[in-house]
Amino acid sequence: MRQHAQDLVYLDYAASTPVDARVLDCMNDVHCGPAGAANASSTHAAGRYAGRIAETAREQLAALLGAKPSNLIWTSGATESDNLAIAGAARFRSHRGRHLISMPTEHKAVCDVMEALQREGFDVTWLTPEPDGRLDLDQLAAAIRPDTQLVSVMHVNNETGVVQDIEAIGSLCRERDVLYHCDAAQSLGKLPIDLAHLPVDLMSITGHKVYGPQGIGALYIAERDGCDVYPLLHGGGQERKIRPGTLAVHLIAGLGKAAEVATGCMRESLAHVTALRDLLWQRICALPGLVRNGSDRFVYPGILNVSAGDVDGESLMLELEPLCVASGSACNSKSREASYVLRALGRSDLQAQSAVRFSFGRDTPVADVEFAAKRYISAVERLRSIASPMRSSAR
Amino acid sequence: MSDPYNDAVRELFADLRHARELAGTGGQAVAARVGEVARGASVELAARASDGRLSDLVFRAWGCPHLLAACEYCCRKLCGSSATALAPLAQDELIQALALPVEKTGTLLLIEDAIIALRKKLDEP
Repeated sequence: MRQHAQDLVYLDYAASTPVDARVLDCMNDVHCGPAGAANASSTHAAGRYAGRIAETAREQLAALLGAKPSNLIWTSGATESDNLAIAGAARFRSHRGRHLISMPTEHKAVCDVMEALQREGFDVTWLTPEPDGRLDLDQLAAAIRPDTQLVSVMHVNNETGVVQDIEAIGSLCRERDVLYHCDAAQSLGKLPIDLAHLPVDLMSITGHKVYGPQGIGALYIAERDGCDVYPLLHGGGQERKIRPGTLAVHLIAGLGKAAEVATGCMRESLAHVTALRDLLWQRICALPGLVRNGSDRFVYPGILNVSAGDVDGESLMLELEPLCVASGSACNSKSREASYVLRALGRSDLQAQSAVRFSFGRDTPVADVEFAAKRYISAVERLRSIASPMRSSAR
Repeated sequence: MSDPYNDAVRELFADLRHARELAGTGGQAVAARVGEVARGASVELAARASDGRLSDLVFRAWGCPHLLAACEYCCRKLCGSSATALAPLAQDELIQALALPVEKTGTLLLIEDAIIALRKKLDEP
């Protein structure tokens, strides 16, 4: 009854991507080479070699982002980057004011640190998303106060794929002398980002959603007056004392290589996932009552989020096996809480808890999407049949 | 994350053979529904009693895999039993058989309520 790994059909690329073979080779070379045993802070030859590997990776990532390498700080991933950016910037600028702005559709790594700062005495305004998940800029403009110090709005939403207009948000923030933090965990290497021209002050990045390794990320910090962060950690002085700790050189090299690979294949990948998303939607859209969550126009095409509404989300996930997709319900948790992101978009509890997020990658075969479509349709139909007398009350 | 479902839940969920309409004709056919979809779970049990026995016992349900598996388990156990002695299975039996996590034990109460409601309908003249 249980699934074997070889039978799994993986369509959860928004959660984590497989490590690219070129990235694995690169990391292996680091481990097996002269820097394998070295600390990048050491002054001896092996340490200097490890340090050069980290700097090469910084250049590779900077090239993908249109940033200066010196503006990038290595972290353990997007959660740490979000915490460092938001808590660090809020505390750095707290003498000017203690008002922060974000959206309830942000990742928990943003929402939770905002709530932690609220407990420290900061005031947070949560902007309501439009029904399609986008931010209304007029609402943002009205929410900015003289004491506002930071706005945090993500680039691509991890559940719906909705893409925010980060250029317009950043421009508004610049006009009002407010820092703009953007969580780009879902967009790095998938959508073009040019920080040389985008008015973004802080950007969170992670490796494992761009075919790099888990456990490595970065924070971009723009070079301009009033833009800095207080560190969360204190120790050895690495990363300009902003994020001390021994560098994980093999992971850093992996992220650098992943960025280099992404730079070369972004356009092709985007076309591929768009075709897969369209194929899946075309196959399943005839299911009665199916709702597509998020914007139709402003969306990263590697994510398709749908709700059947009248089936139980947890049963749906089990019925979908061996398909690996993400659920809109906190399955098996004590709370059975439906997706807070979809609830914020106005979806009912039943729609939110029955949501399924399909996400595709540059190496996803068409056959996997065809399988997913058939599996999804049969799963929904079976559960609807099992619940047939109750379905009218579920609608 | 460990697998939240044991083999019994997976096997029952894969073969919900009692999630259907009542079979046969004649005798006394009754049904009872409890719970609400809006509150996360709903169960409808239906039974046909002939010659003092449950000749068929089926269900429809909206809920998590543990609930569906528990419904199927109960139908398999109780189908064919005495209609006048119909009673919920012991909670411990279901908890053990399905390795129910503590937060799911509420589903058992729902099935218990459904069986008790069904019994009342069978007892009605």
